[in-house]
Amino acid sequence: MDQIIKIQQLSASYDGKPALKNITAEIPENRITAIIGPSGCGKSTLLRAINGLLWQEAGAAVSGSVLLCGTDTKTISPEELRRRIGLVFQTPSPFPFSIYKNLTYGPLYFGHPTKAQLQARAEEVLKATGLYEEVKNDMKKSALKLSGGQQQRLCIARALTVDPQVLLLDEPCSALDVKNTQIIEELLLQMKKDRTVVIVTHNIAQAQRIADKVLFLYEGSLLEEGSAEELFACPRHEKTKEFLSGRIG
Amino acid sequence: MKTKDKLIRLWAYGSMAAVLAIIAFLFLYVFARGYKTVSWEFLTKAPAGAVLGMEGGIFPAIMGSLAFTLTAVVIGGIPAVAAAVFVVFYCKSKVVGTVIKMIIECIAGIPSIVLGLFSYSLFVRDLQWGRCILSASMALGIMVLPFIEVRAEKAFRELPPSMIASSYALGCSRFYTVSRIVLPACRGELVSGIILGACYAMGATAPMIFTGAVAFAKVPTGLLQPAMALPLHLYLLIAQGATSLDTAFGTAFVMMALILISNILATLYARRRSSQWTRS
Ligand SMILES: Nc1ncnc2c1ncn2[C@@H]1O[C@H](COP(=O)(O)OP(=O)(O)O)[C@@H](O)[C@H]1O
Ligand SMILES: [Mg+2]
Repeated sequence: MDQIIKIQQLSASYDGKPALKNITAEIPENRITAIIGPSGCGKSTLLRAINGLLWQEAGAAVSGSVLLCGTDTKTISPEELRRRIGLVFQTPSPFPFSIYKNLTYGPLYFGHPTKAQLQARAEEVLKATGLYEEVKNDMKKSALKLSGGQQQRLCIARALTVDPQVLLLDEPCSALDVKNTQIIEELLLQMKKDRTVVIVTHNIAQAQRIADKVLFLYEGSLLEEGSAEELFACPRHEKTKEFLSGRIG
Repeated sequence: MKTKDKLIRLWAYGSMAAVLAIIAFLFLYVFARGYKTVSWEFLTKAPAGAVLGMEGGIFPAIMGSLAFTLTAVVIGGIPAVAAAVFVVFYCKSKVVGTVIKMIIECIAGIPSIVLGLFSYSLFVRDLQWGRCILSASMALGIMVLPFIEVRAEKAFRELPPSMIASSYALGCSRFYTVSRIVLPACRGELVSGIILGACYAMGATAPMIFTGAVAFAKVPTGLLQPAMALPLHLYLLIAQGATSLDTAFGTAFVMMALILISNILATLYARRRSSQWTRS
């Protein structure tokens, strides 16, 4: 099992207040890695570190490095890095255009695809996210008219249009109902055949259902990491036990 | 407590009714006194008569006003939208942002006659453009710049941050994000802001009296010609006294109708755009 991302001694602070403390971790290729921990522990910050956004934030002081396939991400151009590492946010945030235009936005930026290629790409990602049957007849409809769950799946589809190696998701299901959550979990499980998935989740059961590897963050530190079975079955750290039993968080 | 509540309510409703009544009265008064004068001829003929404007129409003034306004909106609107884009999406330094904000607020505070003086000395005299549409529109453009900038900036800031972040997260540049998402998404607000700015420019007299508007001219065919303008024409008609008062009200009627229609169109456009894209 190859490690596609290596995080090395990563620390970050906002105005002197540490948000990430000396984190070293690895993310396996073509697996689902879940990042769990109480809110405010630095999960979103860690995701932003992985796709390079953190280095560009005005108030953030960052040290350490993140390697993507062995290359320090600081030496990759920000655009290239973000194309290779997609990010989906907590609140569904489709662009205020048609469904189709949401899906051609990225590809048109990165090249000069033909109409047929654009259409094929859009259909492919819609199928991958299980949206195709639901929207195939009104691709010209405003994406904002979709339901919340459909919007979130469209955002995942949109992230896939530029063919990232890694897909980061920041609590993608926290605004969704059980049914949509289930659909998204299934599509993530499908997706790990040819992509690496990193999901931040507040939902321990969700991490248990889909994750291969789990990172537990607590107050900016990586307290525990391990395979999902191990970590959930016998957490080593006292704080992990408390978090898993629902006493903190 | 209850009577106090009632009094406040009465006061609020009373004030609202008074304001509405005053506005309605003003419009009705101008329309009632002006509508007899307004005819096809009035709208399409040049002013005439022993005392100019007593007879004939206001066609060159309408066209002149449109020329001043359009030029001003282009001159002021482009830097206004650009400044708003810069402040919201490009500017990383708080200091620079604050300075820009201060400058824009200062411009908004400049009395329009001072803008006229500035434009007169710089463009009309020093640069020797002469009194022309372009000179006057420079002053008008500076006047509407903060007006449009504030509205554009507000529209940009109201976009959901995660939408913009999603575009960056795809790897797209700021320029692509602004031109492909921000500007199209805010098109309604931008267009309506620009139309409202145009109404503001159309009603202003002070910036153009030394710089480009004249008592009589033909319909302009270029930006380096002087032209008539509705507000100045109206001013001159009133200044001439009782003999021109009917045409003065006619002119006021046309001006107010133009501004009212533009305002309604701007509002409708913004509303239609937003209802098109928001949920349900
Ligand atoms: N842009 C920011 N500016 C200042 N502080 C921030 C910023 N983003 C995050 N933080 C702080 O960093 C810590 C971790 O935040 P975050 O990564 O969002 O936590 P989580 O996603 O686990 O809830 C929090 O204490 C938060 O207040
Ligand atoms: Mg978070």
